[in-house]
Amino acid sequence: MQDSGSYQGLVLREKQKQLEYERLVLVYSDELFRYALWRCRDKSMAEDLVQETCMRAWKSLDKLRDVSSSKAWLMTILRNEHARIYARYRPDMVDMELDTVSLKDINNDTSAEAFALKQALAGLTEEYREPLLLQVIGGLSCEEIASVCNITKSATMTRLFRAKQKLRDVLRPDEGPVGG
Amino acid sequence: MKCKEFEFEYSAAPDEIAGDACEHMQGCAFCQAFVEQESIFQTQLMNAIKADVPDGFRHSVRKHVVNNRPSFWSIPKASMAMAASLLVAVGLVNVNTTLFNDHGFPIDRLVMEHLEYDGAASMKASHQLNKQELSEVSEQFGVRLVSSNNVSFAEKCPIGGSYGLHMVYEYRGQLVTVIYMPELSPKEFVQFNYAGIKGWVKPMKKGSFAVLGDKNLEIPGAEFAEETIEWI
Repeated sequence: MQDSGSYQGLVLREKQKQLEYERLVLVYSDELFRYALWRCRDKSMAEDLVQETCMRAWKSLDKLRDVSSSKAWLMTILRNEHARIYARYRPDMVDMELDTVSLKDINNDTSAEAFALKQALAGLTEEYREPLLLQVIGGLSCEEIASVCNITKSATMTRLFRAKQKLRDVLRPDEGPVGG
Repeated sequence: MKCKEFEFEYSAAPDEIAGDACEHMQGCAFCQAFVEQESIFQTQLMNAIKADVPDGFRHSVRKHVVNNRPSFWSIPKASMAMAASLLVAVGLVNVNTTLFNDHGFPIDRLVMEHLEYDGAASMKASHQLNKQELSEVSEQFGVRLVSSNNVSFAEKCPIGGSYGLHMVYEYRGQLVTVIYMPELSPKEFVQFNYAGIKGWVKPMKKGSFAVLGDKNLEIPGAEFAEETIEWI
């Protein structure tokens, strides 16, 4: 009887894990894809990256203790996977044209302003772009971004502020700040 | 708080300002104007960054893991099936599905909870499915759709402690959400109307069938369940 009990327990635990995983994919796969797309700047690489991220998440799902932090957890896995798998391809990508590689798959808004913003965003250094993408695409809080990027919360806020300032300057180069 | 400090905090994290910053904004016309400008900028930024997700992407991500995951599920299926059937045959296993069935919620709440997970997109036709795609999904549930032309979206979704076949169905020119749940069996027909959504859940010979739609839509009656699916 004990054997059947442990078999049943195993089946149920696996089913529970499967359901938890399905929920994560259901809720976060779109955001993961958008984040991956900005990281890889290529649609099929982004798809592969999300698949690898989810595979890794599946393997270590038992380590996810706090469900409320699942999004930040997945973003961290994606970031690490990207560094692991694609970092070595980056030099090839830098040589290619910005508007044919960086922006070809990110084409929802085709206005001139959106294009200028995309270019400016693609031109930001990693330290500024990363927190901004995590905030805008992932909807992560400063604290969560800090934990994903392994920096302090105040450093996160500073980077977000500067990143937005740089982008705002592209849209409204002549405008100064409103307040005094 | 000074205006510069407010600008810094608000610009860095507009959704996280509280306390001092809120108080400052309420009494400062400059910062109120800044907030308006920022809101336009945030929208522009959001639109520029957003990208279309490929059709069926979620499905392919799931499939990837199902095909590649290690451990328990990588045990050959024939061996698993044989072991399971032997245990069932000798009466040792009685998988208690009620353990996962409802998370303590009545079935209408479960269905609503699922819609909340899935978001507004699940109420719309995201892409048109071809017949083969549709039958691949529905056959996983042991059912066939009587009129596949009316279904524009179908996906296997987690609902409560099990799975459901979630579809967007065109009914008299309007889109309604239809969910077949093979493992959830309510004792009786349930109607509900809350949070702007109305619908019903009907027990079937196997599992149950739910229909949901905007409260202002005309949704089909209970006979729709038998008219929509047939068992394989």
